Amino acid sequence: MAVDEELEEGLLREILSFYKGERAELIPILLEVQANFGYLPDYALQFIASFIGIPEGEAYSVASFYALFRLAPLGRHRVTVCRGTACHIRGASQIVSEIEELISIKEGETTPDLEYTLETVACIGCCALAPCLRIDSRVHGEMTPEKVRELFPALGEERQNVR
Amino acid sequence: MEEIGLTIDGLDIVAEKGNNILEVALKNNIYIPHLCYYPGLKPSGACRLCVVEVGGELMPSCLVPVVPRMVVTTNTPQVERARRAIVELLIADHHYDCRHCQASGHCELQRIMARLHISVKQMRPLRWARKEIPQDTSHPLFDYDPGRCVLCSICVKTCERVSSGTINFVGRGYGTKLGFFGDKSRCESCRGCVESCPVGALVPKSTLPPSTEPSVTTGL
Amino acid sequence: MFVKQRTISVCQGTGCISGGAEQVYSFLDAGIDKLHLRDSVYLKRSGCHGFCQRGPLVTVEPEGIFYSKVTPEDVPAIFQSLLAEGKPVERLFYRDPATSRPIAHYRDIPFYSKQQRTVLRNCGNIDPERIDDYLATGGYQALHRALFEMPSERIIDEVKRSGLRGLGGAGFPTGQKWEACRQAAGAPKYVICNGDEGDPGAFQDRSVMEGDPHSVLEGMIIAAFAIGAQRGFVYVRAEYPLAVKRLKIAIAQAKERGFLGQDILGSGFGFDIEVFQGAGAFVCGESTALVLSIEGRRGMPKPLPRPRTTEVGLWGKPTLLNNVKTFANIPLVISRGSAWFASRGTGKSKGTAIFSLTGKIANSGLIEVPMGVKLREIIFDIGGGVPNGKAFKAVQTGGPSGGCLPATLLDMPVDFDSLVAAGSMMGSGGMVVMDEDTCMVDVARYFLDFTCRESCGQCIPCRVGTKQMFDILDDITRGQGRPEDIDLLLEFGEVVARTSLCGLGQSAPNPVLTTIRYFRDEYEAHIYKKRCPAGVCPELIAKVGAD
Repeated sequence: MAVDEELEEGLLREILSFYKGERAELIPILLEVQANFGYLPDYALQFIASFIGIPEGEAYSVASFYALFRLAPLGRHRVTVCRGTACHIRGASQIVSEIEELISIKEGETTPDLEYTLETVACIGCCALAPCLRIDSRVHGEMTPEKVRELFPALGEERQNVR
Repeated sequence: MEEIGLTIDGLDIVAEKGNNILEVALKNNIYIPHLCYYPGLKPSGACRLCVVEVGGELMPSCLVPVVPRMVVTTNTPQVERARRAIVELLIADHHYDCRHCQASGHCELQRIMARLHISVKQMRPLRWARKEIPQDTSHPLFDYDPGRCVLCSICVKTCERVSSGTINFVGRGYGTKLGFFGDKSRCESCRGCVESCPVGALVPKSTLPPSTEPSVTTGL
Repeated sequence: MFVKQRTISVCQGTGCISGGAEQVYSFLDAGIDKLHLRDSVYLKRSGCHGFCQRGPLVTVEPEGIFYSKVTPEDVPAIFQSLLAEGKPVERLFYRDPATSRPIAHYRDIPFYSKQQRTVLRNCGNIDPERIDDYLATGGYQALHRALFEMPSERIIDEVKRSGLRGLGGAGFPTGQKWEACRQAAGAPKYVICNGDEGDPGAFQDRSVMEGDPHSVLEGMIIAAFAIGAQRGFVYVRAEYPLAVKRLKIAIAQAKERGFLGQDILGSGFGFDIEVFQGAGAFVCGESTALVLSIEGRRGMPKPLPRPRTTEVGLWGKPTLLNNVKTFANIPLVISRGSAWFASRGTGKSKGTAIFSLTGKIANSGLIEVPMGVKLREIIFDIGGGVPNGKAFKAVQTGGPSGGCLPATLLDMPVDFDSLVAAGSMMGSGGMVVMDEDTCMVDVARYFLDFTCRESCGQCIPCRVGTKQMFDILDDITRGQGRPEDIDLLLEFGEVVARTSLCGLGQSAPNPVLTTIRYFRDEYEAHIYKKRCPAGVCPELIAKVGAD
């Protein structure tokens, strides 16, 4: 475990080496650290706070304000269902329920095996293709409960292939 | 100090330039309800309880500096309607259990209710939040009840002046509460936070009531 | 084989990509190589056409053939059509929703032909990752004119005369804002482009940033020159990674060609732009919150009274903040002149408006029309009306800050002030069409859910008020409404509107207030009869089924 910690600290330092330590860099740094670590671990927040020269609590306070920042580990696959107006009208809540049933977690949660995190977001910006969802970085439009069921076995296959 | 003449509720008042309407009113025994205002701290205009009418518009009196010949009214139907609604929203959202609350007797919310004649029995039938949020006992100095917190930020600002902030807002929107992330040894134990809390959200640890206290409000 | 000179354009907007447009592009690309057509067929990527529902979209010039819902399997047929005797692929044509009549050319498709695509002029026609495409349409000529032929006062004067009003929501006169910022004391000054398009149901800003990023940059550079700023930011919401990517590419290319940087085109004026990525907070579309966000703080808006952002903004300095579409209009104002600009639109609402028309509508997508066009024309002539034979019920404009307008208002002109008078607003330009199967109480609940989640939490009316209103609406949709609920919603809605600290809270009650105003009977059915007339609210349908 000590090796992992060293590696992680090294990665943090590497990321921060491109910044000057100004307050205005806080959100860009948090975004980059999260992109690398998957979420914002406590020790990372403390490190970043010290780098910028603000109290740790302040860094945590700012991070906790923005919906994008995860302060707890995420699943390998992030399933984001759009609940924008157009998607809502075209049945987004059904899509959410279908997924909740398929992977047995509720919105906002992560599966115990850390495979999936299910979230909703206000708008993906693909309103003409409503209802939409995003798995990792791929957007899937015109979803129906049937299409949802098709999507998940496909993801399961990917897991097989990776192994 | 330069003096300014203005009118509040028809009364001629002399005030110091640079003061805000709320301070001036309170100094002259004109009651304006307020929660997030605290003498000596920069006002945030957040609770909206201190709204008054200036030129027909509702303004937060803690943020408006007095100017010569200003005409302020604090008792119009519009103002009273606003105050009443905001207080009722707050009560319905509060972990309302005065009998078991540390702050009972010196609570600003109780004071406001008394002054504005608002009671649980007579208020409109809102949905009560029935908050079952557990207390946060992680801080060495005090216990925090998010269900009683009105997010006035007085404790945050007080702490900032002393120890560069070990108390902060965490989260956003309805779920916002106080957080004490990080090294708690930075706390100077000045008790400024507990003493300045206008309600029973921050209470000193040593006098905590027994744990059998119900945490569910009984509503009406 | 002999093939006439052709340009094939494949839309690579987020919507089309989700439908497989990248594959379509690569199949076409591979096919061109295999068939040795490189000299005659020019293949390019284009930005969002705004007609995402029909994607992936492919256009063939010079004929102007428009193919919709193209799959990689259709590629061989497209190549066939390019041959001397080849005919266009009819099965890929767009079909008129009412008559099913196939339409071959995009200029004949009512969705496009009835629009006046000015801000969207290049979206779908140019490759947004090639600055030369932008230059070929006359791009950066306005900048040249501004830098070398017009003193700052003249530039600002032109913008004022054009009548352009901010297209981010508030509709504040743009020229006036520029003038205030120019006159404000303090340095350095900043220019910020608000690309935090947070309204669910609006994607105009996304399309422009993805499809024509240079138009935004050019507008910003002209603004910076006019007010005397050296540094600018494009604030892009986190959920638009493609927009971030395209903007960064555009900035790098603009810099390379001397449109950004130290000594722009040899004028002596220097300006740099960075992309700032948001982190998921709708409230950061509000100007003071946006500024706080860039400063690395919680995005909690500052209450009035306070100095304007044009005087005290980013790091306490004068800051000019305008929306993506507002900046995209600027190069046209400068190159074609304020008189031309003011010739379109209405008396007080000049130019065009872009609506993202979605929901129960046949042609869903982005629609740019002159201000003052009737609601009816947008929805029925351009939008193709409500599909599946359903009856139109309402249209929601302005996103969560706006209101729902009923059929009786279909003949109203769509401009800033008319919408406000009706109880709604232009806002972000979102326009969601609802039919007989939409429950208006559910719609109100939906919007309150949104605003409640997005509230910054500072002030009691918004933080607690939106939650209370949501709880009441939630109960109503689940058959637990009480007789006093409508009055509670109206009363508390009005107080929240009047006492909230910022625009989010002040406008949050609008969907509730308008739906009660125009659809009160639906509320009453839910409360008194425990019925959902539209057949949407699950718990109320179950009850009916059980009877």
